[in-house]
Amino acid sequence: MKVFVHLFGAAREKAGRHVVEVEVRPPAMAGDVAAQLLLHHGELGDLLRTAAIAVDRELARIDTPVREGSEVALLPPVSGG
Amino acid sequence: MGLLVEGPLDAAAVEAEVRTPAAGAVVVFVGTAREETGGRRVVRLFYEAYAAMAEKRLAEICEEARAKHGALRVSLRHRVGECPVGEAGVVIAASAAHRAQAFDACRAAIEEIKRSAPLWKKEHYADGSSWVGQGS
Repeated sequence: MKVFVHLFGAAREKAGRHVVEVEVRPPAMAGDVAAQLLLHHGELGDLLRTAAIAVDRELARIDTPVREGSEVALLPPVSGG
Repeated sequence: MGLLVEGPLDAAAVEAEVRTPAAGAVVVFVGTAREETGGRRVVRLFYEAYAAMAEKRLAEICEEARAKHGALRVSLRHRVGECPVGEAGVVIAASAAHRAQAFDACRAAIEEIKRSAPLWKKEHYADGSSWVGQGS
């Protein structure tokens, strides 16, 4: 299934877009999405090692389920305030 | 919803939201864009948000800070988009029966924003730019 991953900050700039698409086999977890990003979006580089993943607007763990239509986001280390 | 704001923040309006006759103290924190960081001259900041998640997280942060420190009300606004040097990037107001609770709640909210709100700051310099904490 296709999963759309929203990008922010330096990750968005490095990829040159707000959203990238990855293909994962169901039943999928957040870790599978991260692995596909590493494999197919090497331009994200070291950010993939420091970023967190959110699924449906909550911070995810490596085993958080990702379903068809889940909202997945790659969150670089935050720096608000 | 509506805790993220494009354009200048109104600190007085945030303060007004936490005023209540039960309060003996109101503390307002204003985080402003500094002109210098690590020896480099900053000309402006740019804030990016994962808006849907940030709105939710910021509301949670207000409630957590209020409950944890026994404050009466906590409210905030965070800027998104361009923020010129000297202008506010974040405003937090906390009211409480006594000053210690208001100070503590306000402090807890800003520290938690910096720790966990999905917001990102880019510093623009005279000669370049970089995302804070993202190694680029």
